[in-house]
Amino acid sequence: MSPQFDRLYPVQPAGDKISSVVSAKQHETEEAELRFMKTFANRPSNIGFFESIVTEKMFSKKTVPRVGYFCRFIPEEIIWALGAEPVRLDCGNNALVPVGEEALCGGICPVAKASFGMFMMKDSLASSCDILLLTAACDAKKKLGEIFSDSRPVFVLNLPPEKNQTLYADFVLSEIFRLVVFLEKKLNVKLSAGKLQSAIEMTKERYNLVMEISQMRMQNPSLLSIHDFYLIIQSSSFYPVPFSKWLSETRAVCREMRLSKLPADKAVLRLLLTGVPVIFPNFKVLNLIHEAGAEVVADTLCSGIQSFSDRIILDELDRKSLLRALLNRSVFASLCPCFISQTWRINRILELLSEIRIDGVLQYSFKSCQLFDMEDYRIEKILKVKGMPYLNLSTDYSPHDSEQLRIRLEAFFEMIYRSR
Amino acid sequence: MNLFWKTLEPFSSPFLLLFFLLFFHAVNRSRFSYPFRLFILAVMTGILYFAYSSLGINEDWLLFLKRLNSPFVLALSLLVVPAVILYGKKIYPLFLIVPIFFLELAIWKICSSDPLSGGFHWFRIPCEYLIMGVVSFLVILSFFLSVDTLRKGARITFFILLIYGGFVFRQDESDYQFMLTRRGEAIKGKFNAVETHPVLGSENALSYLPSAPCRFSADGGYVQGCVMELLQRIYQFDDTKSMSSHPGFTAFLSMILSALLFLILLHLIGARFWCGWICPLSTLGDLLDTLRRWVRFPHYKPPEKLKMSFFYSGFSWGVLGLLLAKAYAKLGPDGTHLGCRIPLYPFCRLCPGQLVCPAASRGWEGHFSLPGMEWMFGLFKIGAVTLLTVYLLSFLAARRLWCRFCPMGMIGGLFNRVSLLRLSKNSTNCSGCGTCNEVCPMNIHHVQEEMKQKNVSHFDCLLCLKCVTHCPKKKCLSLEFCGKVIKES
Repeated sequence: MSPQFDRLYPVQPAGDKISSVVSAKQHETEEAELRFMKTFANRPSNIGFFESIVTEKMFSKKTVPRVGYFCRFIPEEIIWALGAEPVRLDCGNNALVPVGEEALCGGICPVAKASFGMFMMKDSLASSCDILLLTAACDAKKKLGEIFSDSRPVFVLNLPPEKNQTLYADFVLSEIFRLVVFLEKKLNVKLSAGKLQSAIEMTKERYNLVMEISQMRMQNPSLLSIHDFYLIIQSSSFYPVPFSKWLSETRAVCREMRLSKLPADKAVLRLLLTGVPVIFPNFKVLNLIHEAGAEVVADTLCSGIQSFSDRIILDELDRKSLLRALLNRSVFASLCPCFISQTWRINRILELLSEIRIDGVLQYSFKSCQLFDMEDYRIEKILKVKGMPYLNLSTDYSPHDSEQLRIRLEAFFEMIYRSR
Repeated sequence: MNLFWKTLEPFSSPFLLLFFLLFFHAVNRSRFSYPFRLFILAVMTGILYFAYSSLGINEDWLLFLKRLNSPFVLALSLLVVPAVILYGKKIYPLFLIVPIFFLELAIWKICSSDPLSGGFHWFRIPCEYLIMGVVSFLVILSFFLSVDTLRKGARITFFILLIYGGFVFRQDESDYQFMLTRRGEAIKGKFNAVETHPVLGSENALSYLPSAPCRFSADGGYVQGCVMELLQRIYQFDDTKSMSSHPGFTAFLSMILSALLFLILLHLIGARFWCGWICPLSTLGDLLDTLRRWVRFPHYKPPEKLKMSFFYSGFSWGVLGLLLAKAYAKLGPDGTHLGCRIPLYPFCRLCPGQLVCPAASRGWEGHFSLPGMEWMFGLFKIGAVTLLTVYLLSFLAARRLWCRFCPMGMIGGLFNRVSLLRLSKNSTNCSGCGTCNEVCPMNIHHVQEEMKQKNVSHFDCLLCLKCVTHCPKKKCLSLEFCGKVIKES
């Protein structure tokens, strides 16, 4: 099989930047966010563990090969089953955006710019990865593949344009087999059905814990702030952490929440957050919501609760069926706007609206993301028919427009209060 | 004891059951309160009961009605339908008194019949006791087991009943002695076996089930046979013999019509449910499927384009069988028609069921030999071997691919969208994951693709309910009976 990137025109890989200024700024952004979060009341007692993961103080020594991936289309279980460590490389650090902008153009998704910026920094998590896996979901991620291929082995997973399992299930399966063959060759190990099944069992517990916490939050959001919840969720996939340790700490958080006697605040505004990934430390929109006095009770974000809300259903246990079950969860149940139809994202929003009491839907999108911009048009009209207040915040990573966003948010909340 | 069964007789009429179900459907769509609904249904049942009893005034009508009665309908009316309606409700444990009673009745009957001296103890048990006992057993199990396990249990139970039923369970002493005499005779010219003697059958009533309970199982099997057997029986009758020349014509006609009506009624109630939960031919084949899963071999998913070709092949086979049955009726005195030798029940001679079921119930010595090349220039020999190979291969490699060929299943599939048992979907909750297709033994994509209509029943659907039990989204897929949700994901 021909490789995806023929090295016909090799380019000198981007030099490792050792700029201490950027590095300091990077850590300062993270610390600033954590400092803000320390002002919250009622944080879990072991939140320090999760904080230390995201500030990379718990940077574990690399004992197994590290495979960096983007998006949630590639099942982590495959990487675990091949004996490697998966790390999600979508970056949320504003300080790394100018670093990426030096090499790439300015008008693209800030996630892509920041991720590339992180990759260019020596000693960062991204540059410690041995193999990189991307998906051809959106344009930025698609083209990043070739840029990365100058310095690391890269595989770009092709996705179907339509979320049609009848037509494209075999196509996606053959693409995954291509990915598996690529990884097997690079890691020098074979993927067996038994190892895949035990990886699936391992991640099943993570699913159960996240869903339980999410259910408790839906009843009473003051039990755990959305910031802390995202810290817990993202610390398991964005950073290398011993899985069993993460599970036991999260179980402790869950236990604490179950025993907590905190009364639910009936007056707080309950929001459904949808849109682009919100990745630590880019909690700008969450901070604004918190300061305006509302709570996010549910989301459809690929970096939030939605990333763990679809179960893997196993029927037959041979390798092909296990991979198909993984793909059903990762690709065909995905709500990413990179597909032709947005029906399933709207389905999920309406399902959540009917399940729990929600006062407003907030879409958070990037100025440079065409996909979410285009989807905003129809979602607004559909939700208007349903009588649900809706707001689209189009912004960037930089904190400069915080005040304008705050004014818009407060006006939105006031409108909801008045119509209650 | 006879009085007891006589009082229950109206409940073994499919007409009563069907009218009751139609009322139930109408009541479900109304806005009456729950106690009022129960009251209306009780009153309707009473009215129907007395209507049936009052029809005894007319002898001919009574005879016709009696031909339709069957212990299977009695089991449906008293056990299965209430169990399905009350499944999951709080009052369900209270209802379980009824199946427990019937089960104990069956056990009492077995124990109270005289034991035989030495050898295998054949169970001599009248049909009503046996059917009610078996179905009661399953209904009691449904309280404890999940739907998947219950389905497997039901398939194994009916496999034992329908394949070994003729072998082990007999009606009474005279029936049993007759069976022993038959076994003592040498079975001459097996390919010419004219009539087998099912347990559940009297001179004037033929009992059929919609799926494939092949009556060529040892000692005639339990029921008369499948729907194709009935159709062949109709075609094989020489229509030159009219009412005036053939004295038994009227009796034959009423027998056939009542059997046909009974089958249509069963289909209207459950459609292809019989394929998914009862058919013993598929249970036999699924042994091979279990073997494949045990060795972790991936199954073959035929491409979409081939699906219609499977349908056409099975359809052609069915039509060919019926045309040959029509030709059988025209056989000349030398046993040929247009130079071809055609056996009785030509469709059955091609069907793998006729080779597999007797072998399963009596062992190798019970199997029918393959026809020689003189029967229709070898068409039967080659056809039987080909279809047997297709049957074995499709169950070995492709889950329930055989059910796409099966003409009996196709007739059931016609009723799928209009029957009282339906699969319905709440599209708002669908995430598009395709798990329903992944677990479906018939590889149906329709359930996952359909996003606008509520009724997602499909021609191929066997109502095995695997999609409903495996769907990861809450309240997305559900099984509806007369408009009432029984099980949802």
